[in-house]
Amino acid sequence: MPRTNVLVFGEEAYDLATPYGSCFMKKLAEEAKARGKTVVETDGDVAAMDNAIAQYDPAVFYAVGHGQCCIFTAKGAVPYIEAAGYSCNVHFACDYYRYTCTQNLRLEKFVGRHVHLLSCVTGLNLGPELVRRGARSFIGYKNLFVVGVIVSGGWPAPCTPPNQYVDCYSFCDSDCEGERVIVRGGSVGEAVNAMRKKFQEYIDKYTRGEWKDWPVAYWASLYLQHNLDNLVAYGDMNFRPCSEAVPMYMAIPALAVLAVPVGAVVAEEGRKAGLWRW
Amino acid sequence: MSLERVRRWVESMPAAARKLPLIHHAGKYWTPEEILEEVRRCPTCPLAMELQRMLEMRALGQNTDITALAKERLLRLLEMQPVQIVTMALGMPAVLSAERLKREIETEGTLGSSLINIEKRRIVELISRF
Repeated sequence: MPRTNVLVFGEEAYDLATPYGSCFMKKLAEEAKARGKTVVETDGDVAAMDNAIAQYDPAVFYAVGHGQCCIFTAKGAVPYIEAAGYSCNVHFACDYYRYTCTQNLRLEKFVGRHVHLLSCVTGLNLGPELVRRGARSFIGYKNLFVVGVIVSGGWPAPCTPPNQYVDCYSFCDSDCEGERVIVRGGSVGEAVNAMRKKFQEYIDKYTRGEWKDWPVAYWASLYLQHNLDNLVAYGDMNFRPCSEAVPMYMAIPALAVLAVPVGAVVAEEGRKAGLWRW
Repeated sequence: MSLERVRRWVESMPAAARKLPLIHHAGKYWTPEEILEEVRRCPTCPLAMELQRMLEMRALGQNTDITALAKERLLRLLEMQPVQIVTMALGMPAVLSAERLKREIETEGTLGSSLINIEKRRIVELISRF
């Protein structure tokens, strides 16, 4: 039985695209730890993710990586989760990209867990297959996931806020919003709704709001809408992988202050009663 | 109907959208900026009156093929504002150039057809803002 409040992140960052996703995961990991969750951050390496899952038995597996309709890859494009019997066909700019999945790989490792893959196309066949095999829930995309757009200049550092010419921020930020909700105690259904809302907020900024006259605006809004249109979720939408929203001492800071004297009194009374000695 | 209303409508949309073809009339596609210019030039002329009437009715024009219009707008946008994107698809280049995106839209590939469908909804939304 996967452990509530335990999360494993696959923070792959070995090429141009993946660091834009893993940067948000690192920030989320900080927040989750501050909320008392157990977060195991890996670099997306196969062995590191395997060990983390085996050792910590997480309720949440959230990873960034390259994908196709039936496969998700780890660091270095090494196959990590795969469902045999599917053939992915992507027609892109007169080129046909085909990937045929021939093996079942780690499908059983996700039984009872919430799986969120920030990746291209895994929502088409891999996500449904994971849920059929016992994963509690899945969030992903059934088409190419666009990570960023640029109309001028160079690619920005990860987590750089958008500007007039480039946005490699809003896309992964919207994706990460789902796991922020999970970490704060929300259900998978609430997480997906939050992601949709976040995508829409950015689209509105680019189509009606303060960013609408930026040179990058029209393209950014189209690709954000593309990601939103292809966002999919399967499984138990009522599942809450992190049961408590905030530890009590964080919700009511005074409790943290009170906890010390109260604890001292309880300890002293216990000592007097002979319950323990030191 | 007034020049002010048309001006407000044009200003409500993203800068790039003002320069993209939207309404078909009198043998050509009119951009929002061209419509505004025509209404400003001669608000009571038959042409300006007809363009405003079409906006009032949210009409794209007779025999408008909205799929072809969406495609044309995306290709025009790509000329005005060439763009590159990054994706995370296994087996495909991470960076997709403007030239490849142009071919993608022309051939209505996996991503191109998604963009065309979004742009069709965008056309309806833009004209509904009037």
